[in-house]
Amino acid sequence: MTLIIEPDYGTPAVKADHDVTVTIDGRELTVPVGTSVMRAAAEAGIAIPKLCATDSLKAFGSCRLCLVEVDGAKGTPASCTTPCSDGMVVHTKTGHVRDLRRGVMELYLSDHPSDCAGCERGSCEMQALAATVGVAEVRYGLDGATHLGEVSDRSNPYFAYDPAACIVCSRCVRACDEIQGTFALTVEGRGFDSRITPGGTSFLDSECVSCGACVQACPTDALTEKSVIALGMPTRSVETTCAYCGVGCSFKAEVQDSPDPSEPPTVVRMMPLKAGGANEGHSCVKGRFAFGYASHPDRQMHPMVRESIEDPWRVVSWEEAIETAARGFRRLQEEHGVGAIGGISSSRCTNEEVYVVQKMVRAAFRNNNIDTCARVCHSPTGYGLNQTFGTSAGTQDFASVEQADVILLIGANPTDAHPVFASRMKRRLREGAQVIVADPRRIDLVRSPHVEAAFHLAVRPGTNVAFINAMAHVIVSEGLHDEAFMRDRCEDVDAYLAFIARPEHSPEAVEEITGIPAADLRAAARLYATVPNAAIYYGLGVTEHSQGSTMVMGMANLAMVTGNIGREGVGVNPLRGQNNVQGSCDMGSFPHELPGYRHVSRPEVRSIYEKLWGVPIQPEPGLRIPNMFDSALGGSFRGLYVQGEDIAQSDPNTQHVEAALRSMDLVVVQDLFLNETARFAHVFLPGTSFLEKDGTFTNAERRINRVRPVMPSRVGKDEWEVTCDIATAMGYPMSYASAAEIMDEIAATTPTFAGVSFAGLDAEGSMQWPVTEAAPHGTPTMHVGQFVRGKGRLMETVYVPTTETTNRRYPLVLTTGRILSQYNVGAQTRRTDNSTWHPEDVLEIHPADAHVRGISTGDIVSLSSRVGTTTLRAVVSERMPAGVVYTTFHHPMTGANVVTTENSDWATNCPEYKVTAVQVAVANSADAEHLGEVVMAGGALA
Amino acid sequence: MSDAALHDAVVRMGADIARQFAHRDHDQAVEEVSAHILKFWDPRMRAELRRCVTEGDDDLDPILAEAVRTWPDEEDTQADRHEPSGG
Ligand code: SF4
Ligand code: SF4
Ligand code: FES
Repeated sequence: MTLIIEPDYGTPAVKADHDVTVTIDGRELTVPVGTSVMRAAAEAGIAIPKLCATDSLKAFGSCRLCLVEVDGAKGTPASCTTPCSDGMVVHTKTGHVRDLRRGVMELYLSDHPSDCAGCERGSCEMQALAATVGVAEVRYGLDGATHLGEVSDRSNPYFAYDPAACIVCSRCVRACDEIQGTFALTVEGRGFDSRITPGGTSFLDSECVSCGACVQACPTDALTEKSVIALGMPTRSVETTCAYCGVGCSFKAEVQDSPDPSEPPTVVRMMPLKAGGANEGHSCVKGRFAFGYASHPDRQMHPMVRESIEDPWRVVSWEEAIETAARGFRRLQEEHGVGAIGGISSSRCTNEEVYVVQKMVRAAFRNNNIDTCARVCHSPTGYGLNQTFGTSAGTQDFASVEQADVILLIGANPTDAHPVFASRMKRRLREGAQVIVADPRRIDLVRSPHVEAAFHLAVRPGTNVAFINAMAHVIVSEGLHDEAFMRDRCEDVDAYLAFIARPEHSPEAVEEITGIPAADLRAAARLYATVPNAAIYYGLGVTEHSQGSTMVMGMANLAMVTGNIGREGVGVNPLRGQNNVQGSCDMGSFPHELPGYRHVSRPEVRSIYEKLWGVPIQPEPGLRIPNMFDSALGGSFRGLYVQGEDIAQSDPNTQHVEAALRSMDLVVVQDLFLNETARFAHVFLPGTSFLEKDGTFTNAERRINRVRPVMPSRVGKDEWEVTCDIATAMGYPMSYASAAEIMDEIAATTPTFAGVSFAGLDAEGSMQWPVTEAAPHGTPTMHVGQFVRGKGRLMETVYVPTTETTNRRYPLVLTTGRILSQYNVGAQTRRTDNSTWHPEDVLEIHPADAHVRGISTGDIVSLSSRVGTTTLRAVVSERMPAGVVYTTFHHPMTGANVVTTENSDWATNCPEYKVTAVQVAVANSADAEHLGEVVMAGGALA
Repeated sequence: MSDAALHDAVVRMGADIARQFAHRDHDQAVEEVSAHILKFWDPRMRAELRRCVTEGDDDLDPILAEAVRTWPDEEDTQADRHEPSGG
């Protein structure tokens, strides 16, 4: 394979309802009205030289290199800014335009280093362009005023800015504005003096979020990846999918192969794929730059075993590790029963890897003790959307937001957690759509450059259901609901209308509870209900509550009440945390469901697998993650296989989790690193990074994306192979020739995946499930015409306050979240230069709460809840409402989950991470010395 | 090993479920709570809950206790898993 170069048509594609016909260089071409001459020519294979134009940005018309002649028109218009019109006759190669272009190019070159390293290595387009335009030498020379002596800015860990190579085409500025929406760059000065600057400071100290869009857009060497400077240009690319968040961006992994074929290739850079359905050529700092963890020296490359968790690890062969795990599991079942063991699969692994884990549990362990880390994030989405709509997934594709008039954003912070989708959202807001932000914290989308929320409803943590009911109450009591839609498409309409009309749901009645001024809530509800298209997007601020599932149903109610479902621009959309949360749920990773969300009690579903696998499937649900821990402490659960999830760090109430892990006889961990959970493991199986995986990830819009190996497994086995080996060693033979074969089995047994295959995905790029005979190319929008369950079900969503309440001892509410540069427990991002931006977790606290406690920014404070205490640094912040504090959970040292409790969603046991009653105090000097060390209730240092 | 952790968990989780349906009329609430637990809980957790009811655990939510009493024998593994409120 070679380097994939996606064509650049110069200006964006145009969608239009009719076409025009033009003649370019004697060829008759038909294009949608509004298409630029440059694009029409490029699509026909006629290249017009260009510098300031690129098809990810609106035409700008500044460089004058793309001049053409048009019959009957005066002068030489720029082809990038000239739209095609019917009958137009264009000449792109006349002597006159060639002369003009040559002159322009000479001027540019006169201020471009003749020894430009980028031109040499191929990362700068100038020399190649000069050759195209026909400039052999620069007549002006480099003796006049130039910018060649200017110093470069190397402050950003991932890219450098060398002003000497800059031609001020402003592609970077426009990329930052139009694609990323951060507006960090400006052109300072005029004419010859004009320079690009990140707000008059260094890149690192600027507003820049390091998305890399400007680097990608820069045609010269002015903005270049440091990896390219260090290693040179890549020679080969592989199309694959980001392994970080649920946006699921498509990338070209661009590599250099080692001269020694036994050595793995070096990844030079990750380039977002323009053809990527989820990201359309954009990415964030994690996906583009933070891949270095895959080759970090901390990575464990060999299987290891040990007798007890006090013993040192012993490196062993794969055979010995697998035999140890299998023998141990078998013995535990013989001694303590079939239900004594179980497995946890990871939302970071591929669909194929996850499917095989649940198969091992169901067919080799012969029980349903399989759960996934989605338990702790989006299990309420699964429950709530299934109850109301009939399937556990978001209703739209990401592009749908481009048709939304109002975006109701609840408990999500997309600019940090789902950055590429946030960029799409911000673009829509700049076009005039409005956003209502419901979140206790003043997130960036409340106010940032060119974004101003119509309303910020600072809902008090734990009161979401009271809030969403009040929204529906206003809509129904003011007659703004879509009664025709409700009658036609939904059931339980009368009961719901009577329920929601009750006065206890009015904004005035709940104002005290939610903290949202009734007038604001009323106005926001009216706005949501009265625009043509209103869309709900939400995150873990919805699900991680004791009423997470109820809130999901409450949002579904709101969409149904207003008819905002079943077309583009509307819907109810979970923003998934990890790359494959959607997929791991789809693949039957919950203890009560077989793949495709089908309950284990259904004999007709079990029989599909019983026939294929040749074993009986248990008809009873198995244990969920928290109940595995409870049962471990009770002695009935004794062995656990954990795939790529760091439960000791990510799950709530660390003390309880650690005690449970310690009590088990056999813990098998499969991971890249010796994580916190591995401290309690007896068998360690090295995992593969996304660069070594062959398979699929399914993103938040149900899009099944291919993950392709850039290199073979660096640990000698694929992860699904290891799982199969354990099952086989336990006496249930399991094997596949390839990951593609696993997908074939998934497709053969899961109706919503019926039309999915690797070959199909390779041909189409990606597909959104359901992929069926009726929808062979997938389903971007769900519930069109009718809901998956037939009629949508309106649910009576009663607000039940959480039992985690504040009191004199614990007067503040702690809520948690994540930030842009780090990812979840940080196992990956902490092992990259992303730590430049977030070296430690901090506690954000409102000025009033800080003042009464004598806390200033930078102080070390203790954070205590009913279950534990930790210490971390405080940041006094107006983003927080009084009474609420906030932290992230990216660093094990801080152990934010030491303080979170076992409270959980009533329906799914998703932990109530977003509400913990706490106290904050300036740490005494002894505590301060233990910054980041955690004390469990009971006093033990962990 | 103590069963305290599992006991505490099922009592807490059961009460959480019962509180969600407390607003319903009594029979409906009992039916919902019973069906939800049958649909989602591992048999050993249900057994623990049964044990609490049999032993007359005073901490148990009354609706929860009543729901448990409506369950078929543990051997009846094909019990209806249909929640009246959907699903
Ligand atoms: S890296 Fe992204 S945010 Fe930073 S200046 Fe470039 S485009 Fe703007
Ligand atoms: S937005 Fe998400 S999927 Fe896209 S590059 Fe960033 S982390 Fe990866
Ligand atoms: S490419 Fe058209 S003016 Fe620069």
